[in-house]
Amino acid sequence: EDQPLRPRPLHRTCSLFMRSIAPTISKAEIIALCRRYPGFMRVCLSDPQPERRFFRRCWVTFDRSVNIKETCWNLQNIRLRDCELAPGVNRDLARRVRNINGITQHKQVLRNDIKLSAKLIHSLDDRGRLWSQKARGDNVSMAAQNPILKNITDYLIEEVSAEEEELLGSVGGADAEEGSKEGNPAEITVERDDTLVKVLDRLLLYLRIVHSIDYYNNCEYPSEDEMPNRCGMIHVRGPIPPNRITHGEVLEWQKTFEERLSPLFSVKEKLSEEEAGKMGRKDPEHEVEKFVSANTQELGKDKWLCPLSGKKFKGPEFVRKHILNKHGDKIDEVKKEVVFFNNFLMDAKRPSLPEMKPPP
Amino acid sequence: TEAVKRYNEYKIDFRRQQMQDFFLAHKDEEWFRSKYHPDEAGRRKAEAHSGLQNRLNVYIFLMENGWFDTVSLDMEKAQAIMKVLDAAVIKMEGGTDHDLRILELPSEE
Repeated sequence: EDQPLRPRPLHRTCSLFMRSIAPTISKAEIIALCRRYPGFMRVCLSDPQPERRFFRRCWVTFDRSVNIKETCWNLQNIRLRDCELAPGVNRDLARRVRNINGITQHKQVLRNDIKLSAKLIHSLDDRGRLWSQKARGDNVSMAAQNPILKNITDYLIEEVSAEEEELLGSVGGADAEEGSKEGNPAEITVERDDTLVKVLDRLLLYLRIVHSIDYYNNCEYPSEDEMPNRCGMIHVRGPIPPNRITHGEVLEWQKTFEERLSPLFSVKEKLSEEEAGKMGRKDPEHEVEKFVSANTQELGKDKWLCPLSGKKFKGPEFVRKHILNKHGDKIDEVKKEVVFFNNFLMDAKRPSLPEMKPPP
Repeated sequence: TEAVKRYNEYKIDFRRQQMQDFFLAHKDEEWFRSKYHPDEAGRRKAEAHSGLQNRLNVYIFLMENGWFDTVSLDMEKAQAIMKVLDAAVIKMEGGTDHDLRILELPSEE
């Protein structure tokens, strides 16, 4: 066996951080530069920041075994297209597991979190086209179900021993939570249910590992897969609150949590048809026509030129036929440019110069 | 309110002009093309999809091999949680079962 004697510490890396990389610099250029140093692994570039002239932050990841300070020093005065890289050494994450309010251990909150995280998984699996099987000739194209969502609703249904309590003469089916709503000491003890915890944690680990969603922190770690730490930080439940809590607090917690989670569901927003028209969406056929007539030049009587090939024709209709037949690649290019422009135009959250005040 | 109407038209024209200027200013930059150009955006989407598929396989591996059985997302389990995250990264990097054993060895650093 040619397996190495010692297992490799693949979970540990070292990395450099560059604060401002000009938007004109491509990832390939940075890779080409850094690949010369030993142990190079990958490059991650952030989205450009409009308020910083669209400069991007950059992380370059190396194998743990290299001398990162030396690499950093060697790259210190290197410029790429007039842009100083000015790298620094990126430290390891100090606290990877962080806790939030222990109210999240309460049964009612656990159940609500199962519901929300299942919904989130469903939406993200859909967007990422996970589990969907392409129909190959068949007419059935059922999306295969994510197995961890199977029977999930069973855990959302509350089971009570109402009949038994009725027969024993206790107050009509009212449980602790119900009772507290009725005004009595409106406090409840946080009650943990380990079956629910187990189900929920499978879902939250799925969100964290597959989709890079840190559920309890209500956030996504975008392009985590390219960052130095491919699965760095996670937020978890804190210890059970020492004091009793009120029913109102539970409801309030659930409400704010759901609000903070909602941006993670949002898909890319698009302009309406009407707005797109107003902003000048281009029509591919029209642009192709414009391209053809721009390349149909009249030289003289019955003498027409196609500047793309330099060939001459007797009439404009022949040039047109010629362009459509012989310059299909150029026509495709024109169509692609239209799609390129329209994709940008249709994006409701398209990047733009910051703080452009409307004209006076 | 002809004035209001004209002002609104002016505002739309202004926004459209700004948008077109932005397109021309950035259309050759990689970050912009990978967001909107059909070829580049398609390539990036495909890359993202295979990355996601890799992470999904890692999750299934960890689940089937019992990595989640002894862990819960509670603060007192912080050490065990980190171990699961590290195991996930090792698998994402293409590590073998042999490589996973490093999590049982005392750290050398």
